[in-house]
Amino acid sequence: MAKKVLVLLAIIPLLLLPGGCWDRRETEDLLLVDSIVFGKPNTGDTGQYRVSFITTRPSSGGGEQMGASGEEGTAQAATQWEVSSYGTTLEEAIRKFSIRSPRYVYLAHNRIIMFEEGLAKEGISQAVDFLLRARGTRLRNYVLIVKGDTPDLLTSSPQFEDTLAGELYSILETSVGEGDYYYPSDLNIIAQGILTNGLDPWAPFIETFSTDQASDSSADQPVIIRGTALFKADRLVGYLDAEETQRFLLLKGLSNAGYYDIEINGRKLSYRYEQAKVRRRLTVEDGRVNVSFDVTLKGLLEEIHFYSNLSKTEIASLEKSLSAKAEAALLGTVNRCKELGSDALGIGRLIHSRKPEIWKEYSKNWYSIYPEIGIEINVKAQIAGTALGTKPIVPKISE
Amino acid sequence: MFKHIFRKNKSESNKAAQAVQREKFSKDLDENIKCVQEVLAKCCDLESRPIRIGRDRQIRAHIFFLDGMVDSGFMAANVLKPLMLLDPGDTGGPKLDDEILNSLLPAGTVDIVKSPNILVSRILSGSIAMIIEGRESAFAIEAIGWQERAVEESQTETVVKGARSGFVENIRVNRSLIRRMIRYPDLKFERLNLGRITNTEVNIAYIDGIVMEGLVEEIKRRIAKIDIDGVANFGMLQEMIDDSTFSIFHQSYSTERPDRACSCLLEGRALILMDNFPFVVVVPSAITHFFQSAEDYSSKYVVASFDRLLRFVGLNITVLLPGLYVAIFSYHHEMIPTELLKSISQAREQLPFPIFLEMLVLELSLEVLREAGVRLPRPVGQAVSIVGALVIGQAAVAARLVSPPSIIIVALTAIASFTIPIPEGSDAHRLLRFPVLLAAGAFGLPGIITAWLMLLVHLAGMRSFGVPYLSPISPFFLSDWKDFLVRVPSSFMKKRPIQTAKTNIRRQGSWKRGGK
Repeated sequence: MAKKVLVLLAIIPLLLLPGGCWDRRETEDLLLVDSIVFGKPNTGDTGQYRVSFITTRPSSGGGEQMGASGEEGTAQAATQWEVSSYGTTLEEAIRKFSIRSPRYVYLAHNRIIMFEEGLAKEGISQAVDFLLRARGTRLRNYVLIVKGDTPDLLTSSPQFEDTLAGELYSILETSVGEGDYYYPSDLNIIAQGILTNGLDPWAPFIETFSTDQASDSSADQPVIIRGTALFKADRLVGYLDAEETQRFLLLKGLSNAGYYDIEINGRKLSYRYEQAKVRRRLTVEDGRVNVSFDVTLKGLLEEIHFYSNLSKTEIASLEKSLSAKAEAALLGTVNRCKELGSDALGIGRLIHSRKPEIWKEYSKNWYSIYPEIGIEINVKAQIAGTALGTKPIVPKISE
Repeated sequence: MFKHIFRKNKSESNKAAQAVQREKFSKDLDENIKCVQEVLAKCCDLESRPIRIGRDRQIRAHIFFLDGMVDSGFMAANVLKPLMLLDPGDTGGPKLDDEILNSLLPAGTVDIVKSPNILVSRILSGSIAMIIEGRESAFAIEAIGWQERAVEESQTETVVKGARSGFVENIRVNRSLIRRMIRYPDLKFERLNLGRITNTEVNIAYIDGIVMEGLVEEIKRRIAKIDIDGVANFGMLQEMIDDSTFSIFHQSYSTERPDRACSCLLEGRALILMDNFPFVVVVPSAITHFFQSAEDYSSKYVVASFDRLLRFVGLNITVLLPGLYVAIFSYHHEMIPTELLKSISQAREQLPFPIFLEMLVLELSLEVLREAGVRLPRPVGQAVSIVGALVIGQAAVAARLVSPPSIIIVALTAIASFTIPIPEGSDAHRLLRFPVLLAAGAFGLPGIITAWLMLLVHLAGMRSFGVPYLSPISPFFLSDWKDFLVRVPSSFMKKRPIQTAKTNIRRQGSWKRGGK
């Protein structure tokens, strides 16, 4: 027993000596990367990559302080540090950065991965391959496409949150609900899209917002999400704007809220749907595959600019014209996807799952067949009510 | 060398026992007086006086007692007065003893003692000794009257709702407290003496027919084996009868509450009472006792179950939280939510010490504060707690020596350690967090897991008087879980714990709950 105790007593100092020799790292030694931007250098050197990092620099005040004493009491907000690094491979670019970084570059808490338009057009498969291999990055990292140049993005400043990455992250996190003009895409969706035959990747794209009215200081330019970037395999082929994104998300089943405005005799009517059901059907006629989307919308009349007594028959006719409007809009979005050659809607996957034998032939040259596939949209828009008001307000003095 | 020292000690300790040399009284009173005075020489609390008794006060007698040990009023009224004033009816024949014993002394316990040895020990335990001329025997009249504490509320196991009485130092009062709760002839108190010099009275209490088979014999065997001059504390007794001496856990637990002690008796356990200590030791003990409090049975079962789960969480926090904090924040940053990591790393910005050292120092200083707090005189207590809490805590953060999150962790650990209702449990777990902290600092989470597994292996291998310490977890007894991490309604607890009441398991008959 005494021997056992002695051995135990000897173990304690031995434990302390090599304590944490392997990978112990203090939290304050980590450089927390919030966002990585992959791009191409402006010089036109095609073999080079540019990797930019948006990181949080902890405030020197140390966050909250209990003491209210003058020098220490001020809590400084965290600031960001953005930096770019170049290399012939992505790994080299990151390595170069970690050499000059005063702290250990820590990617495990990265939240947003961005691809610059230029690189995305050339293909992102190498970058995605690197990200999937890297130990730090997570499949749940959001992916954004940067329309325009990275330097412009890096100089623009966040409007509300402390850092740009934090602001974009918060915007993406709160995306579901109102309007559904964008939907976050993550590394998982991108990787699946690149690897799956019959399904193409997509991701929201951001743009540095600059209007003529905006202040001339470029540092004050906000960044906003404009819509969705569509890929053909791993290459960026084009963009959908906010309206088209709403239709696109509806067809993908990712969104169930949105608006349609119609005009009747030059007066406007606004309709908001809050329930949407999409049924996808596949029919084969004479060896030709037709895909049809049966969409049922249920919503309210939000705003009416003309007088109507809203009788049953009138509502039925409004429903009809709303359906027609929605059909046209949705078809427009589908045609836009077809034009761009991107199958982000997953038409190929649909054929694969419903008619595997047909897909066997199609899969060999799907991208040439895809534009020829007949796609039909049937919308049934239902007006469930007229929101809180019933009849529209009529001014006392008519025009 | 050691052998030599031990041998020497042994012979010295035996000397005290040999001090009383004479085995028998002589017929000569003076010689007998001299004999007692010799044994109790240099004892300034020994009082003695000669008296004359019998018809016409012809018979010489002598009285001995220890000042402060006997009730002087009782002595005057019930011993001296009848002896000196009343007529025994006999002048000195053999009938005198009977006369005194049967009709003169109204005291409760009067014995005729044949040997000076026994007489001295009776004097030492608060009896009045009377030696009468021409007799080879003496009287020992019990007249205990020392100062003692009244039955008060327990200090270590306080409850909001529940019995207020707690054990006291006097073993007779303690016995009566138990007896008052269990008025049943099969409640037995067996007497043993412990310690060659202190001669402390030890009782084993159990309910015949319910107590675990062989338990009483085993306790007696273990206590009888002990050869010691004196037991200064019941903790020593606990340690000396424990199965695994080197374990950090006691394999018996002590309670200050008679109600708790009685419920243990009804479960088939036995109690060890010790004179002069306001605690009784319960054997066998098991891990279930870490979570049970007397309070549980006075509150509704849902509340009691919630409290027990809280205690379980509290126990885990006590042992694991400092270790987990160190392991996760120095090795496994991936596991932390991003916002939390950012706020912690901001708080730790520019701190001089690694997180492990910081926690080690803080935990140690907490122990120092706790230890000092036990010993602080009441008037300075407040001042010191202000220094401890404000100056050390706040100033250390303001001076950027430690980070606020670490202080929170340490405070949480300290508070959580007090959720464990029995001191034996909380003390052990309080200490266990240091090895866990060490393992975490050296190896991160794998270290904690290893330490935890080692602890489990140790606990699973331990026994208390033959009962596995981890029961009812391992070995698994479903019916015992009714009173473990949750407490089911009382009417569902129809059985006693299987391990302790093997032969008499049924506790409630088949009856229908009220209202049905």
